[in-house]
Order: sequence, then structure tokens, then C-alpha cells
Amino acid sequence: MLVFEDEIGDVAGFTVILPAVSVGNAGQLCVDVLLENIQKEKMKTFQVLHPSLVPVVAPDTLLENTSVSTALQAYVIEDSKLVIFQIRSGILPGQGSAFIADFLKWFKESGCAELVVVGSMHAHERIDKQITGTDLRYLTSLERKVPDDFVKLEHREQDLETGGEPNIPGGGISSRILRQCHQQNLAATVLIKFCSEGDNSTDGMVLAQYLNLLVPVFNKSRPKIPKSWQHLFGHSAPVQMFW
Amino acid sequence: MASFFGEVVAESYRYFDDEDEDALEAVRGTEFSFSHVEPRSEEKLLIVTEGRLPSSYMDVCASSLKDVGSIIGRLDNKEVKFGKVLRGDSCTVVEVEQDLRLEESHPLASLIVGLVANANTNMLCLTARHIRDYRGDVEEADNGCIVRFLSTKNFQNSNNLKRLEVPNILSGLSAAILSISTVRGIPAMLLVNYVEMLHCLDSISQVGFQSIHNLEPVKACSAICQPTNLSAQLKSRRTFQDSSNLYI
Repeated sequence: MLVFEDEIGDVAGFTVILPAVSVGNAGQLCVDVLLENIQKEKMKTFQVLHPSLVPVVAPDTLLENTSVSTALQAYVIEDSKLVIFQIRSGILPGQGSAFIADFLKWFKESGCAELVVVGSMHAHERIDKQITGTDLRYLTSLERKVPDDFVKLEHREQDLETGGEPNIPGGGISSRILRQCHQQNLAATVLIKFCSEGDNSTDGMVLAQYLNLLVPVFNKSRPKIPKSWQHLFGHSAPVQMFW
Repeated sequence: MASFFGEVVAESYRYFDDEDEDALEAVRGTEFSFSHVEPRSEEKLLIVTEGRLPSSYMDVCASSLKDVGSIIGRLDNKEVKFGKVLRGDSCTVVEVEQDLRLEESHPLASLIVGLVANANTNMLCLTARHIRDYRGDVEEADNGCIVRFLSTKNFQNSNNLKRLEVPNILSGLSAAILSISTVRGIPAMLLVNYVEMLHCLDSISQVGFQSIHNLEPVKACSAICQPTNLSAQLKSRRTFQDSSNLYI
């Protein structure tokens, strides 16, 4: 079960944002952008423990004090009725189902309104019609109004043969959590970006802006780059090598 | 990695895929338990050492403690000793020298934290990492010793120690113990010593651990004594005899 550092308070009716540990870690980078662009005074931070996550500790990147960050954190923003989770490591092999079950149990017991999962999918698994146009897709467990320019993730031939939900290769727990939400009649939306592994900071930014269209989190048209990214992917390639 | 010429291998990725077949096959469902350990909980100070280097240092500092049992891991009906438990009047030391797999850190940490009597018990985790894992500037004040800490808000810190800087991150048994302590409100500190040679049990590699003697909970424990001459005491224990090394 999810063990919170302190009582999280009443989050009934809140929207929950959860990153899927997926290709390029785009979902986690997206959450970094969200957290950087929300006023710190409006956030309450909670360390959360779950045995299915790889245990890690690090200095807190957002609060410049003596806090310790653990593998899973929850940020509650009461003004915007949001609970944003951040996963700083990954899910242990074979333990995805246990994590999903405990997470959804908490979600239901807390009375949260909607779950938004942000993640990514292997760009090399795109079908022909996905190669051009926007790299962003969505899926929902129940009927939900989305902006007009949102594109639903298309079924692939393999998905049509099995008759199930579209598969999300490289998407981590995205498709499984969506399937569980569908079975349990919970409102969930999955936002996906096609990407490949590399410097995925742009993917994180784009995904954050995409999420912001669905669930307003920050007010800026150009979100700030998180300070924690300064050592993440190294410097850009020197221009001189192309001379 | 390919095991033969022409084998098609799947690409490895930076992100953790919990459904990766290779990773699933390698998962061990090790069950941990104590063997012959007295059922007493520790009320004052619980020290956990992760790895041979901090364990060796603790053997020097806590030589008066009594060996009261072991940590046993059971897998496929085989038992492996993962560590030992030492006890004194005002502290307990758990030394874990075996390498752990990712999925073993949390179960073992839960077992060890179970020794804590109440939320007033201080926990101190000692670990070492290779210097290449450290991201940051090395200042002259470090004197060739990079020792950093992370602690819960309620741990009584010493001002002499430097906090681990962003973007460093730690995993393993010590991280699991600190995570559990953070969530349960147990005062805990993790001290990491970045060294050039992880497997060399000499005084140069271990001198960074002497910082623990500035901490109030350790000062209050009479069983933990700062060595007066670390290299001489290590030499007398003959711990750095390595049959694969001609020079040490």
C-alpha cells in the first residue's frame, strides 16, 4: 500500500497526475516542468513509500532546505485541486501490477475525480499515419471532453486482432493502468508523446504544455526549465564540430 | 549483450521497464530473517553499514560489541548470510556486506528498521560509493575526502558535515532505510563516503567515516570509539590481505 509521510488531507474531487516511467522518461520530465512552474508556496509536499519502486534518496530539488526526496512524492495544490505525483526512480521488475492496484485503491478511497497519466511511446513503433503530424496522442477510460485538436491514439493491426485497447509500446504502466481504470469505471486519461531515448528535455516540455491544455496547471505560455535539469543531459554539441 | 555472433538483441533503455523479460527472469524472491538475534529492540542508536568498507570501519570502532546473530537470506531452499548484528548497551550495529539486488533492498531495509524500538531511536546508515558517481565540485576544504550526508528533518545534525548536493542520487539498502525512516518519522541519517578504491579496506578509504564521531547520537554512545590510529588498527586486523593483489 501507499504510505504517506503525513496525512495528505481531503483530496476528494481532485485531479491526480501520475507520470508513467516510459521511454525517454518523458512523463517524469513533464512532471518536473509542472512542478517548476507552480508557485512553491501553494504546494504541500509529501514523501510516499511503496515497496514496488526502486528505493532512491536525493536532496530535494524544489525546496532548498534540508528535505530528502524519496522515490515517490506527492504534491498537493489545493487552489487548483491537483495532486501531482512524481516518480524519481522506476518500478521493480514484475511489480507493476502491485503498484497499479495499490495506487488505484488509494485513488478510489480518497474520492479523487480523475487520473491523468503522462507518458511516452516508442517513436519507432509508430504506424504510417502517425509519422506525420502531431506526436501527441491521448486515450481515455470513460467518455471525456478534450480539446478539438487532441488526437486519439490509433489502433494498430495487432490491437485489432486481440480486440483490446491500443497497446503503448515503451509506455510503462500506461496501458495497464488505463485498462484497470476502464474495468473499475474510474475516469482516467493517458497523454502520450512519441519519442526516442536521448535528450528528452524537449519532450518533457511539450508534454507539459499538452497536459496544460487538458488540465490547467500553470499560467505561462513558455514554462520555465527546471533547475534540476542543469546537469541532466550535458551541454549541447559544440557548433564548431560542424564547420 | 549478445551471447553469440549474429544474435539479435533487444535494445537496452534508460527507463525501467517492469515487464522486461530479461529483468523478470533475473528477479530473486529472497526472504530475509534474523538468525539467533535477541528479540530486544534498539532504543538509542541503530547503525547500519552497507558494504565492506563501512563494515570494516565499524569493526574497528565497535570492537567491544557482541556478535548476537546474523541476517539470513533464503532463496530456493538455500540460505545465504547477508550480514551480522552486533549489540552493546546503547547501540546496535547491523553490518551488511553482501551485494544486494534492486528488489532486495526494500525487504531487507524493512527487516532492519524493525529493530527500532520507537520514533526516538536514531538511525545512522554508512555507505561508500566510487568517486566517479559523485557529481559536484571538490573543494580544497574537503582534504581529499568527499563525505556527504542526507538526513530526515528530526535527526540531530553536526554542522561540520556537508549535505549531498543536487543532482546526486543514492540507491540501495541505505536509501531504502532512509526512505522508510522519512515516512515513519524516525530520525535517520545516511552518510556516504566517496572513495577512489571501493574494495581497498585501507585507512585512506575509511578516514571519511570518522565524521560520524561528531554526531550527537554517536557521541552519546560509549561503545563506538573513534580510532586513535586507524591505519595501525586496520593493520593489526589484517583485513586488507587480498590474494589476488600482489602489492597489498
